[in-house]
Amino acid sequence: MGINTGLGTTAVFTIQSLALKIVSIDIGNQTLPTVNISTLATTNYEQYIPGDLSESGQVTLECQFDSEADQIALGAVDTLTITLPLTGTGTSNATWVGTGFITDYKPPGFLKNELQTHTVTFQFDGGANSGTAPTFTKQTTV
Amino acid sequence: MVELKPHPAQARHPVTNVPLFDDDGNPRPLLPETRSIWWDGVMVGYCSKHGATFTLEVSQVPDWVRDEVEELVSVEFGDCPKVSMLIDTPEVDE
Repeated sequence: MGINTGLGTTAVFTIQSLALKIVSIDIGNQTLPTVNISTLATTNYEQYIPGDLSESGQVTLECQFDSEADQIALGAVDTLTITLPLTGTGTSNATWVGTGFITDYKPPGFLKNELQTHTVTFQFDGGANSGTAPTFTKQTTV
Repeated sequence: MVELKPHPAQARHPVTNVPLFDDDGNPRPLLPETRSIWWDGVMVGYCSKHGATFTLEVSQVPDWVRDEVEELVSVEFGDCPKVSMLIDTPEVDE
């Protein structure tokens, strides 16, 4: 069983060789559209079948701001690896991996009594341009 | 001991989405051009031809570990153009 909290989860961008000091990670929703197949002969309820292609989702990373680091690049294709903490007798961490690009960057706010944090939004590209579709790999155990 | 291992993400069949294994039963890597960095049995980062990225804070990585990783990455990929780590936790000014 691999139940755990989020503590110890990490996020790394491969091409930028960038590790962020994460406060929180929201992997977003993978959603599948629905197709309404109801007709005038349908009774009781609307009827649906699954759509063909899923939305791969957007990852939102809230991070501590490093004023000595380079500016985050919007639009550049990169591979994001989110590594989950090991649980129990695990030997190899579970991961979420996929290629995509940063679509939104919110620089830090500057307030007294609050740490400077910035927010990065990463759009998975679904494997476009020979990239990697978002893939979850489960933890392996002894 | 510091060593490089395959990235833990496993490749999947592009049509069936079933996890892929090689003939010896080992998972086929999803990112064959990327390695994970292990220090005494604990994964502490990733590396590729673009450089090495630790998932540890700067103050947690001794110079000899950084140097060894830089050397391993250079041997594996021909160069290690960048080494990055997490910023340190803010310290209280004294």
